[in-house]
Amino acid sequence: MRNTLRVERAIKNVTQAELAEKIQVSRQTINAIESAKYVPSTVLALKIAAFFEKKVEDIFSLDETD
Amino acid sequence: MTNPFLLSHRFKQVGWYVATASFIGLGLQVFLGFDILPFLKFGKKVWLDMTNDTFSDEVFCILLLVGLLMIAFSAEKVEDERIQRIRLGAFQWAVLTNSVILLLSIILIYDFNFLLVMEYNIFTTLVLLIARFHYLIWRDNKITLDL
Repeated sequence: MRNTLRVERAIKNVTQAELAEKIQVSRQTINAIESAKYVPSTVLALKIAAFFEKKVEDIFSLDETD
Repeated sequence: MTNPFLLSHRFKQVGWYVATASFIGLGLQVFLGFDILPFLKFGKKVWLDMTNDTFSDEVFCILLLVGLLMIAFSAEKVEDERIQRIRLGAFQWAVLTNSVILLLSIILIYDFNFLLVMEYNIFTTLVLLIARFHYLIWRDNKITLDL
């Protein structure tokens, strides 16, 4: 699964740590999602989308391997 | 998402203390023959003809098991779904590795020595789980720091 989390974060100017605190996960988890090493649950994806006030599909999308 | 099987994070430290103390106690008692808890001694030899004249090794065994359980079943400081997935992976790895070790032991070790294998086996699943889980967390943090 691909995501534009790093870009969204840059646009909104929030650090990994700030985002992590807001959605109650560890900073490592944000990092793992951004580097496509971890696929978040639906709940977490929805939380992230809600934080950036976007739809989940605007941030996360399927790639060829999914 | 909350996990009903997890204790709070502070139990991890308590678990380390209990496990370390009872491990040292068990070592001194069983391997070096010290009598650590003399008040747990009783006079008669009981249960078949084994010379079981003190409860202290039982107490140490129980404390070691409880300590290891506390370490294995307490939450991380920031407990999230990724940590839970890592823990689940570590569980699968530990059970599988333990079974492989046990299978090899059944084939290679016999008689009284096999009894020792079974004794160690009381703790190996938990020890493997704790080692694997903390290794994965350590590796994860290292990768994150490198980026």
